[in-house]
Amino acid sequence: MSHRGAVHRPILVRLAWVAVFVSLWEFLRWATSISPLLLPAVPSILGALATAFIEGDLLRQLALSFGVIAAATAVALVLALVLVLASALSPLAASGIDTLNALLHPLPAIAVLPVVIVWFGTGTPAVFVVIVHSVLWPLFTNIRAGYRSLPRTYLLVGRNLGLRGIRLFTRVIVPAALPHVVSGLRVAWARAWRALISAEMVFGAMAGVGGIGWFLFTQRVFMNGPGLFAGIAVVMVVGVVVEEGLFSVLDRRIAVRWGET
Amino acid sequence: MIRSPRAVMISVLCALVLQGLSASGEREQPRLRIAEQYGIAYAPVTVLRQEQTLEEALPGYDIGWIRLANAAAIREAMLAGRVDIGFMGVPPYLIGRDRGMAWHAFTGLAETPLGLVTVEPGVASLKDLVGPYRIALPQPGSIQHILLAMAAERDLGDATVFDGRLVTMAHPDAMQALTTGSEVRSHFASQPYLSRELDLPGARLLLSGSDAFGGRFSFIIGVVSEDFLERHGGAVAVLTARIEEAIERIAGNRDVRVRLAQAYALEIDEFEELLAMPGMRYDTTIRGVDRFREFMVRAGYLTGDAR
Repeated sequence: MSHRGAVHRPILVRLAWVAVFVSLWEFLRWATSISPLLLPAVPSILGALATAFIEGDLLRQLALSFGVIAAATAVALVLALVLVLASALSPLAASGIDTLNALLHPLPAIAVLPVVIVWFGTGTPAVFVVIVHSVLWPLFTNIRAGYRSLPRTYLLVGRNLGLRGIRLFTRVIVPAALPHVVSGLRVAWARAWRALISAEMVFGAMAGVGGIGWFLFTQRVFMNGPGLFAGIAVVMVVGVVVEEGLFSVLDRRIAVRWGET
Repeated sequence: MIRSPRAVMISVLCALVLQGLSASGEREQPRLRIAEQYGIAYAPVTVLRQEQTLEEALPGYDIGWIRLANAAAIREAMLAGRVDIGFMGVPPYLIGRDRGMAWHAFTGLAETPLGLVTVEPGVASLKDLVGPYRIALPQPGSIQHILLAMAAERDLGDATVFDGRLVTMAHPDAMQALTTGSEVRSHFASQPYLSRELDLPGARLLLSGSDAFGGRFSFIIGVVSEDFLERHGGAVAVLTARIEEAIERIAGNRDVRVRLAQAYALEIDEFEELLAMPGMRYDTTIRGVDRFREFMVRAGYLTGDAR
């Protein structure tokens, strides 16, 4: 009972604050008699949200956005592991990869968009490339940090047990680096989510319905104020759910099972 | 006395802020902010801007000209009270009215040839445009998009059939995309890109704007905020008169056309050719608003709540 309370209380506190912010929003509308085109009423935003989910494609658009992020992250994860492995095996490769990381990691996705359009066009492949770029480098940096902080004793024990090469990598190094992989994924998710929305707002529809970024863009050009704020709310809620739901849970599980402390 | 660079910078900043404050404090002159977009359809506005005839005609006004990238940006600037008069296509104006923007169309500006150009082999009509390839246009809700939807409703029975395959591109980018064999194989273009794209190898006109609409329509109209119209109706009338005058000057004065061609980075010969084309007309009469509105309500692009 007390355990359940401990888990649920932060959510209740959060919701209470959200209620406060929503009331503040409505108070502002009431107190300033500002145009509903600038500050739509909360009920109209909720109405637009319902319309977008029930009559519109918002659910499919969200699914498409997630699908692209998941696929791009999977590819980036494999690439990052290959890069870390290569760095571990060859000092020459390590210095080359390190330089590449130093150059490309700080490069925002939106800055490479014009080049990506020329190279890969404007469809799903282009968005995919943009997300792989924004996800790969934080993943690589974190996994490499995990590898570097690996206690030497783990490796020695592994070798004593007869593990070497790929098996040493998959049996000892990967599990030990897992907490770092998760924190890398966390950064990667934040970057992917931002990159996806910017890319979609520039590129237009992918695969027929477009993703959440395209949804926001069409709300803007058709001047649907409530719809625009509904889209922003969805982006916020998805961000919170993934961050505080998925990653916090993943973090706790993995820290308990494989963490160093 | 020598002061440090930082001290100089801070004092300059302070001076700027103070100046800004005093300027906003003594605003007696009524302001008129006019927003246009880029392209030959805006030529009469460009003439006013170049020759400053509106400033002459309205000496009491503080007049500012702004060029924005698209109608959505102009609409947002007008909503925020930063712009009083904007020039845009009829559909973005109707979308604004539908959503409750207090504004009115007060003049037409131009009718121009528009057209859907394709480089996709084997496509002879809109019906053949079934492939996975995409259609570039300035943005959803633009006049190009609505014309495409009108033709789609007429020829394919579904106005929104192409809506999932649109890609938002500026005209030069779209023309570039057509030439590079990307997945963008069609483009709803306005001049001068329409004529240039039709010269590309394999390019064909699938649909003209007047075909899609079924008659003449204003490509660009002038829109004024209700607030400005009520308080400065006289200034709006003066602007309309000056636009009429600019239209006459474009037709009658080669020097004006030469300056315009320069402003649009066109050779004068190409510009003269564009002006002489059928369907190209500068005109203050507003045409086609009702038919656009009726279609957009029917196809669901407008709620139809506002009149």
